[in-house]
Amino acid sequence: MKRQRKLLTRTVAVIVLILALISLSACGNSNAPGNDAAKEKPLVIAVPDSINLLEAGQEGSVIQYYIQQIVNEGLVAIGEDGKIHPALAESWEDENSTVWTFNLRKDAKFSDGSPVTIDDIIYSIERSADPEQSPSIAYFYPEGFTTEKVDESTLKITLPHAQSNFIWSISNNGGLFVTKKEWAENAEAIGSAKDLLLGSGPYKVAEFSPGSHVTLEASDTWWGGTPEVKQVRIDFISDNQTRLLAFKQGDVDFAFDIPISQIGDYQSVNGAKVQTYKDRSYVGLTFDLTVKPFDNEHVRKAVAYAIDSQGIIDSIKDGYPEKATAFTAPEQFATVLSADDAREKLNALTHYEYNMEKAKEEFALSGAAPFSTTIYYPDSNQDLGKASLVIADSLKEIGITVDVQEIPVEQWLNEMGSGTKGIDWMDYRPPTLDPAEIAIWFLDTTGQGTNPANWTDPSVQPYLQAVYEKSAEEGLDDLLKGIDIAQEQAIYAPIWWGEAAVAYNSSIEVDNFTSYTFLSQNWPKNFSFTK
Amino acid sequence: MESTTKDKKLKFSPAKKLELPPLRIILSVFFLLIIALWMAFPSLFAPDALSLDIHNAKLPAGSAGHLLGTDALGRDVLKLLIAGTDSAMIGPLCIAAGSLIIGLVLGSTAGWFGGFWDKIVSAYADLTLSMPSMLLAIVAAAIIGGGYWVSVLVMIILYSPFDIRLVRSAVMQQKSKPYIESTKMLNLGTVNILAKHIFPNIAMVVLVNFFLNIAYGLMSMSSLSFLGLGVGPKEADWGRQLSDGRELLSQNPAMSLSAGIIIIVTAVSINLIGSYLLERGGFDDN
Amino acid sequence: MSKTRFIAKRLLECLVSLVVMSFVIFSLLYIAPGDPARSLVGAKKVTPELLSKIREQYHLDDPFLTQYTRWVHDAVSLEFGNSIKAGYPVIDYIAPHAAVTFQLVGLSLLLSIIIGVGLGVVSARRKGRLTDRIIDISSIIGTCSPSFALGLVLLYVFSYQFGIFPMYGIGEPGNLPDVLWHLILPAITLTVGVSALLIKITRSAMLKEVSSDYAVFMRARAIPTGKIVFSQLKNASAPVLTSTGLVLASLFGATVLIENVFSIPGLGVLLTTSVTFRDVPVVQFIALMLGGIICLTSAFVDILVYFFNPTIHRTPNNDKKAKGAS
Repeated sequence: MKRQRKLLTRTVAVIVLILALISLSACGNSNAPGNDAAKEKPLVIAVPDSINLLEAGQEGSVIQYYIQQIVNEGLVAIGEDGKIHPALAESWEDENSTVWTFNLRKDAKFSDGSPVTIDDIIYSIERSADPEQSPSIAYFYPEGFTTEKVDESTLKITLPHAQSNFIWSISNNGGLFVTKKEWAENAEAIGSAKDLLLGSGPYKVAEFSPGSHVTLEASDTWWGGTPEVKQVRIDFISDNQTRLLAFKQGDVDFAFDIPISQIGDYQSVNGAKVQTYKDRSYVGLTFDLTVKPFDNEHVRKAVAYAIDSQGIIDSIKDGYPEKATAFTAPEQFATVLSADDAREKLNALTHYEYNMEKAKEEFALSGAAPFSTTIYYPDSNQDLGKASLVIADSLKEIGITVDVQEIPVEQWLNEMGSGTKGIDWMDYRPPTLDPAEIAIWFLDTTGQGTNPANWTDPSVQPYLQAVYEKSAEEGLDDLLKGIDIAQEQAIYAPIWWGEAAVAYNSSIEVDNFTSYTFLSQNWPKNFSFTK
Repeated sequence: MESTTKDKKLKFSPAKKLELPPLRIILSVFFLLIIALWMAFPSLFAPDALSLDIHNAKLPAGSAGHLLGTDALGRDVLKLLIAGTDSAMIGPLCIAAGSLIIGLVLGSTAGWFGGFWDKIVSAYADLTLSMPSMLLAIVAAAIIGGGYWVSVLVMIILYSPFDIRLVRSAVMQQKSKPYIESTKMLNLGTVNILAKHIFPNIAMVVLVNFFLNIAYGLMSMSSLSFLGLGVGPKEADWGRQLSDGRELLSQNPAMSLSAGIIIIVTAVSINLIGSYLLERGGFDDN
Repeated sequence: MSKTRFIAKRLLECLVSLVVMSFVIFSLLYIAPGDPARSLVGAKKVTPELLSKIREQYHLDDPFLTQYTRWVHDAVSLEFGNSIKAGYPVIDYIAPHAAVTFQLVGLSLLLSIIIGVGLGVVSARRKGRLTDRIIDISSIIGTCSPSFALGLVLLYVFSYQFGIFPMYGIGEPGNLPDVLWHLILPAITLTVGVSALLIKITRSAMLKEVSSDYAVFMRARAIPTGKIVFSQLKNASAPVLTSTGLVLASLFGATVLIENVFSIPGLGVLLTTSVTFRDVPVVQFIALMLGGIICLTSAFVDILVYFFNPTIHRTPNNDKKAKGAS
């Protein structure tokens, strides 16, 4: 018996030994980078996404934009105030929103020390406009635009038609990430671990481990001066529970876009602060007019009246997002209006407040027989599934039976506006601060948008035309009028304007976190370490 | 696997039949009976489990009228748990039954007839066995759109090789025995021989495997739900409740916990009964 | 059957199953709803012309058989195409993820064998005793716990409460000890699920040996227990070895769920995102690579066992389940 026990002890001893060896070697090694990092502690930001490629042009996720925005510049950029600021172009002007002339900055340098030339910029524009190389941003460039090198520091871009919002196309919030031509042509896969990024922005990529993290280092060649925060590490932690535990543990300084349901957990962490901000996203329903009976205005109005937006917001989103009265959020108007002014104007647009009596009335007016339909929602946003159930519950009362189905987000994107779904979700956070971005996409019938509702009304297009031709300020009223016509006919039923939350611990200070902080050209400058 | 020396001794004593099974087996059976009742009469034990009450959402466990609290839509968690038995167990039952049927049909014919048919069936079993089953299930379920029944179908296909091989080898073993040879000489029909002489001999092994398949099916289905590939949001389901509850861990931890515990206890009960049967049938350590 | 024939037959089986698997996956991806080009572009305004240009680049509009034969043709010359999601060669895209998963699965295979065989031997030697029953019950509970839930519990207890293990991620790339240190807790989680299988197999194989003539003889000659156990284990190793393929299969299966919980950028996470994206080249490559590894491992082990003891053909013993590990 003793011998048997000996065997057992031996086995256990072997296991312990192996574990000990591994942990010893790990400790021995983890000390070394620790010493290095002591010189310059990185700002650690945890994001709920997993990035395998740093280049936003390929897939264009929000996080990819935030990373590439501080590495590669565009001709213009956004400031923390949400206004347009010069970047690689010092100044610019346009003739009739068609011919755009940019005066380029002369002191811009890539992080390898070489100067940014006009050829690099033209090359980068062409690369961005090529759907094969940049599938997710190519749409920013109209078919048939031309670039012209007037002199070494003057670039002229001619568009086939007026497009006052083209300024967003050549920003790094939209469709331009300037890189070095010579380097890019020799790179096999820009933005992969093999060929990191090369840009002229405030940061350069020091290290990238796909799906795990990316480390950015302050570049000393940026024209704006070397940034204060020397190192930023972005960790990809998709699992919300794990991210919360990592934050509690102090492994993470700043948690980006935490779920609303976890706000309380983050707040309970000692010294941690949680801040919510309007993320400019729009969530609502789209009615496809090619699907019966949604061609009937009264049916659409009945459904719109039956949506208890505030109830949905309160129960599913803990009351955080704002009830939407239009399909563009007030903060999206930052370049032309303050958020409060914009809110006032948007609230004045036609929209349908929750009212079951009116819903029943409208449904009776429609003359439609009780029917059944299905609401599909993307698996990427479970809240939409829950909201669908609440909406289905109300619609049952007026005689519409709704089945709720979850589909992969890719399938959902694919079937958007395909004429197969009478009611569909729309969930969109515009990358740029173009106030007309969603309106053009929703309403245009000339090919500039995709018109997911398949709705044509000749009275709308002239307003959009005015938006294309006039500057954003001058075209504002036309834009609002266009939105109003669509909403009056209940083509879109807005539900909420998104509110996101971030959390940070006591080791850092964040000044003035706004809807535009992460859009700005050197966003890490808003962060500082507490002593 | 649960064979104590005492049990072994009892095996040879005539009193064996009267011996009460161990406590853990009694408890397991009792627990599974409750589960079966929940499955059979969900509306009796949990009326209106799916009705929403968004003004009472995310209540913690112990709230008035909600022993285990409510979920994000204000549905009672305890009722959801009871109502979820159906969707949690039906899938695994179908998986076990489906793979049993495939196993019996393909396995017995392959074992009995041998030859080319045997080669085909064995090749199919080998092929399916050499694939990473969970990964394939994920691929199929994700591609075809998160359907519950798609997952069940995939699982049946992936589970069947175990049954096929089990039945096949059992049939082959029995086939070569002298008594079967003699029944063959008596010219009894194939089906007759299989049904009367071979199946009774392998019934216990197959039944145990059926039990174990239910337990593993429960694991697999809840894993798929965790990845968002199982049932939709409006249905009650343990796996779904376990993963959905993760976002309410601080507001109502009972949601995840209760689902996790019931999955584990159910699977363990089934497993215990399975190994007990195996042991009683004298198939231990075989 | 001659040895060469046996080897050839096993390898041929592997090849056939890989071809069938590639065809099944390819056709599944083909019939699935969703368009990768649309997924690339996202929820944005986009013209049909632009979409069709992207589709053209990846030959997405070709008929099914043309697409499949092109893929097979390229695959034979080891050309696996570009990932649609990332836009660069599949092999470069997958390599870092594969490295992580292989380290994770390797580590937990090692742990599973140590724990599984160790506890199997112990429980066989103490058959019917309390130790045996405890091992049995705990291995049943281990197999019956959904691995993602178990992972979360372990994470909470060992990383958060006790702060022993890292919370997430894979540490510093290239620094192997650091990476392995990050992978220990996930590997333990995986091990709990699969070691029950190894315990059972080892236990039953050992029990046969314990009652065998030579063991009785050795005991009668008062040969030290350690030596007896060793020789028994050597003789019992065939079924344990043959189950390695199954253990690997279930480890690779369960890794998907674990990687999610521990935020490990491995193949599992990559596979799930690629599947929903319909990134055909990536899904194909991962599935074939894993299928190939599992297949070749079991073939190799079978051949090994066959060489040592040609009278043992593949026994139905290796049919025991591994699928519950998820």
